Amino acid sequence: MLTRNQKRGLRLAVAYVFIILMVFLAVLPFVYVILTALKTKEQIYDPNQIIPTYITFENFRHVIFESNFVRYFLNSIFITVVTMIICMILSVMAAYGLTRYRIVGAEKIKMAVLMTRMFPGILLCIPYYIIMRQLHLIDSYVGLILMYCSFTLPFAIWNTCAFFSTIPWELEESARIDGCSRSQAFFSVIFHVAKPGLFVTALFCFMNSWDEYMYASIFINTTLKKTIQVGMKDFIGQYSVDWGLLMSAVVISLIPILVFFALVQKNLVGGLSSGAVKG
Amino acid sequence: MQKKVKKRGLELRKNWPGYLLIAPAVLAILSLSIYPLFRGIYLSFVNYNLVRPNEAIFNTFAGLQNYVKIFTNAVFQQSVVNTVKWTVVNLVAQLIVAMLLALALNKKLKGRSLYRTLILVPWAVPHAIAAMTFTFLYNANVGIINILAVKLGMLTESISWLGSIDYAFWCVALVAIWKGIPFQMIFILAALQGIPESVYESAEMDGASRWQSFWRITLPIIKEPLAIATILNLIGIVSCFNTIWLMTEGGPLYSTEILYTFAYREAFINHNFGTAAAASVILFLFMALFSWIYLRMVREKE
Repeated sequence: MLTRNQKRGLRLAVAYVFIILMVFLAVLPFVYVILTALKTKEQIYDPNQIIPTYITFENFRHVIFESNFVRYFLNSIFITVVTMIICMILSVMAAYGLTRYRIVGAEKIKMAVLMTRMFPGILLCIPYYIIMRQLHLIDSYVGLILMYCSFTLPFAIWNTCAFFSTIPWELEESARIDGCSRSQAFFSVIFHVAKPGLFVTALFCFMNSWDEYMYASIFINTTLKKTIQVGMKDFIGQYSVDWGLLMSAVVISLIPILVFFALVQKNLVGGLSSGAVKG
Repeated sequence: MQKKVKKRGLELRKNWPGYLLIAPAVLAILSLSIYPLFRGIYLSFVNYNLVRPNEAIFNTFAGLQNYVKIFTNAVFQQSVVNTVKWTVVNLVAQLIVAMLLALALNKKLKGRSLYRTLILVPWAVPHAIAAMTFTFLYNANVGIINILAVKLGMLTESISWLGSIDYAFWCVALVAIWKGIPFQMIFILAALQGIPESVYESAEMDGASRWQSFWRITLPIIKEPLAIATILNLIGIVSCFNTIWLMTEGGPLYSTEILYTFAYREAFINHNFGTAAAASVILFLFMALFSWIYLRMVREKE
């Protein structure tokens, strides 16, 4: 029979083993991706070179200088940043209106906003195609950004409302007593208090539009206008795939995600569960 | 009565900047989500086959014809079965692993925040990239899974995992589960961290076993956030288009076809927007029904 302390120790050991196993499962695929990106073609097909004995940066050089990949990367950056800015402006305005003024049916509006997340993307995509063709917005970034706003905006509004409800609004009152106008009070005081929360929201908007594949693959036809997720398929040929190039493209496209992780490390867990994000 | 109306008028006058502030966002959501939703539902009752746009019946009312057409389609029937299977497998697997992980991470461990961050990696990786990565890992010629399995003698020769009717569904599901666990886990963990340690200590003093205190204390407390997380997760699972499409395109022989990919195929490969809209409406109803049943189950246990 085990003593209570031994039991506790055993449970802790099991927890450690389980967590470390899961960490390996989460990270190992990408370790192998990086290894592959550093291999030559022959090494990739050689079972004795699972861990390469020598490495090459030829794949990265090819992806960066001899393909459209950098262009796709910049296209995606442009689209996601514009989407993010539009969403943040609209949602800060809306959240301020909803929390600081007495709006008839404010709760209902918030629930309706949340409900729109239940709409399957494909159900919206079909009418979008007809609407965008009428507006001549197919193969245009304007159209794509509008569609991206359809899924980032509801989330941004919901999340910003959640953050705004935790802000000490007395700060605004006292700033106004000191002679600030309402907008001055907002930008000089409240904005600074809300900054960490808004930052997390903005970065989630960024992630969501960076991740998007289906709309981009349907609505963008011109090669040089492709986004990174769609452009990745360039390395998948009709009959063969250049795995080395594809895997170096994967590594490069993960860079913004790494930056994102480094930036929101601290606020991640709270930001995730308070606003209910789904990537 | 008169007074009430007057008061409401005054309220409106005082709060007009608020309405002005929410107007752009409300307009955007109305035009980008609500209007397309209704237009999509409308399309499901209309003849809208883009292959034959010059036919007389194009863009005319079709009644329930689109629905009849898809329900008599064998691929659609299979996609419904697959959607249910896909949802249940994903949901159950993610829920169990995420729960165990959250319980383990809730213990006082050394390096906990590092583990937590690393475990979030699958969630942060874009769907398309995860799909391509795993397509590579499953590959018959260069995939590490085959190489290792053959080397260790578990397989006599490489298997084309994604090309096999028997394995493709499970291989793709595994990727979706792998990618979905962190999101569910974070919610459970956040809820668990809100439970004070003293609750468990007093339960232990009363002689409750770990198992009992999990079912009697932990689960009832985290039930609500768990339900919200599960419904959000469900939305993600049912609309897991990128992973499936990039790995198998619904194949081989429609073994990985779910409602979402079926609707996509109808719209953008077969160019029949009417039947595609009908299939997406069914998908929408499926999501609504599933969330409703789940919420009912959670409430009943109270």
